[in-house]
Amino acid sequence: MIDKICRIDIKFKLLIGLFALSFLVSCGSTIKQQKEGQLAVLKQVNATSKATLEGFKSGTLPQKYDIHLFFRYAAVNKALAAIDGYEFPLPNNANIAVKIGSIRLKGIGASPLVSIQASARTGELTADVEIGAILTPISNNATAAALQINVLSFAPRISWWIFELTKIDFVNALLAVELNKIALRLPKIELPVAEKIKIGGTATQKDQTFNTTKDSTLTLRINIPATQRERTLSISNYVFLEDGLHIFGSLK
Amino acid sequence: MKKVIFIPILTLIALSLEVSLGFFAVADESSDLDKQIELEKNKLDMLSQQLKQYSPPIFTVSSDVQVDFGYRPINEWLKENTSPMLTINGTGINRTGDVYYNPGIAKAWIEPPRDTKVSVHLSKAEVTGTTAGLALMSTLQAYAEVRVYFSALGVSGNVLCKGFIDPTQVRGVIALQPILGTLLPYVLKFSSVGEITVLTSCGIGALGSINFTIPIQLDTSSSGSFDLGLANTGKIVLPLEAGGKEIPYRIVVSKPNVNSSSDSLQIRADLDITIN
Repeated sequence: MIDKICRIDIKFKLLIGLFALSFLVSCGSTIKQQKEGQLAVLKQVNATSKATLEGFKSGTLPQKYDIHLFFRYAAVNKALAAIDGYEFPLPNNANIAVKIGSIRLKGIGASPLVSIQASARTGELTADVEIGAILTPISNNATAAALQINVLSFAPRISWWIFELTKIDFVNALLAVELNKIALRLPKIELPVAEKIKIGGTATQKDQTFNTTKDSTLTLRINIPATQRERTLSISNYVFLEDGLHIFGSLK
Repeated sequence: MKKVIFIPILTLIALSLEVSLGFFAVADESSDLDKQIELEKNKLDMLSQQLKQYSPPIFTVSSDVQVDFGYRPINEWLKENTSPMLTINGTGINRTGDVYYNPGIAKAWIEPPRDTKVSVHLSKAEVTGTTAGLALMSTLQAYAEVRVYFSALGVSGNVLCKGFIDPTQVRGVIALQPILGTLLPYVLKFSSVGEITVLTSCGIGALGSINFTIPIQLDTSSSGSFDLGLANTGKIVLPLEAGGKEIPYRIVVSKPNVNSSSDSLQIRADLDITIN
């Protein structure tokens, strides 16, 4: 009988031990992942800032341009406010919903940091999620000024008590998500940049009266040919600074 | 019995040891990450200061939206339009009074007005930016043909009068007008416009000749606009996985300020954004 009780005891203690281990590993992983995320973002920001600074120092930035457009992040953020609060299922677990509270752009160094307030929810469980992200152009030499969000980290910010073991699966699912799959669920931003740029006037006709002598006039019907020409904007590069983003392009 | 108790105790010790080791490993890694984060933050502070120090003037911003429009595309546009030449034609539609009147002796008047043809040719136009505006240089050539009826000392008839201006270099400005939406309107103004006149002369045989002038006023004739490179709308696109919604937003440029320098046309403005 005692032997049987002890065997049950062993199994029970083993179980508690394993849970405790899982808890500590999961708990430690969320903190580690948050910090790794912060580090990844900082490294990316510093790399971009360094490259931009070198461009400034060497005189290669800005390159020759026909048109330069600047947009303050604050203005773009007004448009981003339109999607506050949208949701999508976690790519690796459809039972978990990720809610994007807000997405805002903020310049740090020479990098556009994307500040994302997000949370994850399944049943009664919720957790804030720390998403480290930066803004990147979809492609250079494009006619449309389209930008996407590049996710560098995704870590649940969670506080729990040792016996909240039900959170383990939830946390592990959040920790296991692939960053590019999260990025695919974030919005693309198309800035109000014209692809076609017109210069000149359309053909016009107008009547104008001139004095031919002191006492005589002549009215002419004047035909002015169209002078309007259309050019296509080709974006050659973007420079992101603390206030906002600069777009340089050529007209062809 | 002792063995039975001993096994679970050993198991628990082993587990505790493993858990503790795991915990210290995580704590150690976390402290290392903290150090790296601190290091990167310091680097960022230094880079941010240097970026401010070395950034060229074009990166100095004061408004929500800024546009700098270089002169290369403007000159290319002028070249396209004035090579070989931009021709503005005029045809007479009405007239009043006499172009020549000497009481009791002779008089002459334009008749019919539709026989009056004027053409102005502009070539080799080029713009130079200054802080005062866009200075324009061009070569102007003009030609006029006017049919005049005359009555002099009992003799009457009509004669075709001709006048021309040899290629002359003219100066002007591209006068920038207040911004209209995302367009910057302009008016072409020649500074010497008062002096550009086609001297028209027609001989009436033994009676001599009739001379009169046709002024060339291009001030209000040539106007148009520069597209600022801004579209009226932009959009936020949610991917299909997140609902696939497209949210267009409309921009309104407000409090625009237009300047010119030797490098570019500069537009600074506030931006109002409304979600459709």
